[in-house]
Amino acid sequence: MIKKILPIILFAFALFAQQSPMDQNQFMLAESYEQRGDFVKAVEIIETLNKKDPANIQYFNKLNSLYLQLKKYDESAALINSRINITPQDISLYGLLGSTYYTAGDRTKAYQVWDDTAEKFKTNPMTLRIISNYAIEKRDFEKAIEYLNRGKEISKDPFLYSYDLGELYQITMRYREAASEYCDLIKANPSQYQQIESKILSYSNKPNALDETIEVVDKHKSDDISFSYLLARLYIEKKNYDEAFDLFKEIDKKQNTRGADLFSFGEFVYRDGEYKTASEVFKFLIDNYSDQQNIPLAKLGYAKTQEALFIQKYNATNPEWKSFFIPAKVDENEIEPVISAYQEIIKVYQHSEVAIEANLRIGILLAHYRNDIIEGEKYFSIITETYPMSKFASLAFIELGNIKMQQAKLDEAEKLFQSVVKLQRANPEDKSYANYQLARIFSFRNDFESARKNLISVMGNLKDNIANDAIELSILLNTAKNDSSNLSLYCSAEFLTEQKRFSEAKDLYLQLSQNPQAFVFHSIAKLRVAEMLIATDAFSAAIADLSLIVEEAEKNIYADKALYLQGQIYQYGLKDSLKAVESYESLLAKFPKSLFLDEARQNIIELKKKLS
Amino acid sequence: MDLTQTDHLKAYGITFHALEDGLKADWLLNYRGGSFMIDQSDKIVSECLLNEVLFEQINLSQASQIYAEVQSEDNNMDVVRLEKAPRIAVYVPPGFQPWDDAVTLALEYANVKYDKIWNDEILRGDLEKYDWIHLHHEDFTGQYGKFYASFSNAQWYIDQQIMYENDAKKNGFNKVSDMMKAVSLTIKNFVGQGGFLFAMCSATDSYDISLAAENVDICAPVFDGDAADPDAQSKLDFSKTFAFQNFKIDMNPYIYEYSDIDIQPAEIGLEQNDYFTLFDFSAKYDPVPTMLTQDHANVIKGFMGQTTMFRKNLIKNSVIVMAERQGTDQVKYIHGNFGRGTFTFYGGHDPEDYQHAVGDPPTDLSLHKNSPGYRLILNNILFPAATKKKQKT
Repeated sequence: MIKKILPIILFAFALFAQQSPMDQNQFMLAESYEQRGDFVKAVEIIETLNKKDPANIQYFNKLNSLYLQLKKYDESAALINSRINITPQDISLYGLLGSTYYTAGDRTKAYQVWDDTAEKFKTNPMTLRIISNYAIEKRDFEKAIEYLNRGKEISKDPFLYSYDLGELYQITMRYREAASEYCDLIKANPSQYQQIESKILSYSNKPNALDETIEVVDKHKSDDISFSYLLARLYIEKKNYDEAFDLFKEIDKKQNTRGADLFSFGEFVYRDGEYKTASEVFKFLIDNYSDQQNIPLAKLGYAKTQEALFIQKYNATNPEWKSFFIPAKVDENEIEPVISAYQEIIKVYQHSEVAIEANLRIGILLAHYRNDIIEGEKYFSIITETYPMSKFASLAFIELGNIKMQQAKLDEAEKLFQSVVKLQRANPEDKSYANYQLARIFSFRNDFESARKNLISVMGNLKDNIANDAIELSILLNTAKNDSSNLSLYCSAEFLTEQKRFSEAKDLYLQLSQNPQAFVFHSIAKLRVAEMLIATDAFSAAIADLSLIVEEAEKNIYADKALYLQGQIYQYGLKDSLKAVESYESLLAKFPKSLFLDEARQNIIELKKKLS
Repeated sequence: MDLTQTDHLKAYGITFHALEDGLKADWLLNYRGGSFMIDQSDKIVSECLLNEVLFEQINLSQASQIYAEVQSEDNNMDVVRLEKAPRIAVYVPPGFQPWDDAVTLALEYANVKYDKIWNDEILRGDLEKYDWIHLHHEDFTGQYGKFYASFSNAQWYIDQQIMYENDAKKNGFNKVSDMMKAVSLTIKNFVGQGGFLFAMCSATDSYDISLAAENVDICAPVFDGDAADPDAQSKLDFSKTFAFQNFKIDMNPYIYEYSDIDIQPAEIGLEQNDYFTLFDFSAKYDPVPTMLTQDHANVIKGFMGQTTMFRKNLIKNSVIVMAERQGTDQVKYIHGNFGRGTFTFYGGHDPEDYQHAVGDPPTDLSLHKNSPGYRLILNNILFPAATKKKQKT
């Protein structure tokens, strides 16, 4: 260490020892002038000092920078040339001279100086790199690329230049060439792969960069496994998951990683919402590496992707636009693999939370999508009976309670919802929902006082999603307090609706709507009649009924909803986009304060796009 | 369009569309905060409903009453006929930018058609295809927004510099600053020949500085590779500018400021005290500034930008001050004529984001449907549609 430091100290000492204290003061004075912006005075002083000691590098550098500040390019060139006469082997001086010509706007002369220097010192491997640095400094990237390419050509180690070339190509948006340089680097030293990958990913979002890079990397695929990894990463970046999957399969085969890379890929794709590919990846792992450690996780991933795919498809056919509906028929071939996948998890992860969740998912799939509540019930019961302390228990109780309500077994439903209310681990939202359902059960039994009490606890938390429904029901119960016979009739109709007995329910709603005594229920009953008609696909009759509600305008608080439903029938039921737009536009005009305005606007925009 | 209007901004879009469809619109200056009267059509009604714009359907006699009220000598109101939708261009670089342009946001929100143009289009003479051009955050001095100290290593800054350099090379200029001077001059000619220029934020002062520095190099070596002229300040030609004079430029690349035109944050003080006031003009005698200041509020929340406000003593006497911070020398909104055209400068970056920093997400205008600050921007796009009346003063 001492050996290294000593020469440096001696050099510095020698440099300053040559300057007299007077010269030193003069130099500092010039610097002060420079800082004040008085370049002319600074030049005068440094010129004198330079004349006195032309070998002094400090004076030279300062004088040249001052000439450039004052745009005295001829003086700068002369100064550099005089310095070249003193040290003709100093390549950087030629670079500097070219740089002065370049700054003066004389590019031809600048190139000539640089080219001559490259020729003159062609045996020095650093010449072209030094010259290219001057070109880069002047932001002449094309010229710098030219020099670096020349250097690469004549150098014994062409890869020395590839990194700089890659950077310059990237800056100048020549991504194909940049990729080619980076591939050369990987080829020369595959251990640099990760570094190069992050370099490429830093600009891969630029227009055309990804496509051009993929094109180049693809050609190197057979050279080294690193290229396959890089290509797969680029495909992921491009969201071309199928290609990436194929590549990972190839890598897996070549590297014998026993699915490790594929598993990470599958998880990444699942998180990105690309369920189809994720499902294929997990299936591949399950089929080919059944003995591997992460296979149980792959099985869970497979089940979840299958479910997500199934629900995506199912939702497109399910008539969710209707207020009440019988769920669409499910394709057995589509739901069965999902259920099997979850059953497999139950088998593998016995008694774990994952298995309990799988039970819940199967129950939901059966009850909600296959409309097989008896079978669904079995799975929910496994949770409530065997794992009542699980975090999924409250949901299982709720699902069971809903099934019992649908089956008109109100006592059993009540017990189940009471269990949720008492369950310590149940979250407040589940408890509120259970209380709301209890209130409905009481109302179905005509125990309106108990219903009201239960609703009070739900309405206490307005942030809860169910609070609005609770308020709506509470208003009805309170308003109709003195008309208990019609309230009872209304609740019976609601109970039939809950059981999806829409035709019977419609008759009761109709009875209420036509009974002059039951004026409190007229508005809601008329709407419900129309909703029951919609539920049974009697669209024309529903439109006629809804039109009558709309005509009542402010006399019926559901008039705006009626018009909105009319639009929905046209849009989804009768597929008449023009009429749908007409209904929505009429809603905007007639009910400017309606809650359905935003949805109506959105639908108009979508329908108009479709129509145009 | 007073405080009862549900969406002031989209109302401008609807009027613009009506003009595009060949209808005529009357701008009722100062009538209920400045309103538009258009012949009824199902399309307009439907568009108002769809866009949640409050409208009132009136009969002929009600319309006559309104015209009578507006044209009465007792009221500071008037009617301006809007004839033809102006052809709008917004000067914006291609590709990603780490900030948003309030005018583009307003035009997009109000669904007003516009074209994006950049240096190539301006230099090849495409401006003649347009009536109105907007400049926002771009730097016309060739100093890349003076972001050097904070962002010279940021990828977006590096990309931006390369893009400008390529543009310059492509268009035959050795330096970006030279190209920007040519762009500024082309825009100046466009205004001189009757074009409308609307600039915000740093496009205001950087544009005028570029005009003043037409024959002098004010860029430090980090921007254009050669030194700035040490005597640049004394060589500025203020006779060439639109709005500002006698300003002092700051050529230090490490200082994020072009000149002393801009008001500094320390001079503004607390955000809660930052409001500017619109001047009240005579609708019948000064219809142009009246149009440009139509608003439902006359005291408006301030907002910062790279250029926030203009120093009053540096504004030329020929320029009309339309809004300022009362009791200060801080001016927010100015307008002037050059040749057969006009220019309007509005300080600040985004009227609904007090300090819009580099990289901040764009403002969601659906949350600011009644923004008085944004409304001033939209006054500018309809103003060129007005039929020229004989000047009363």
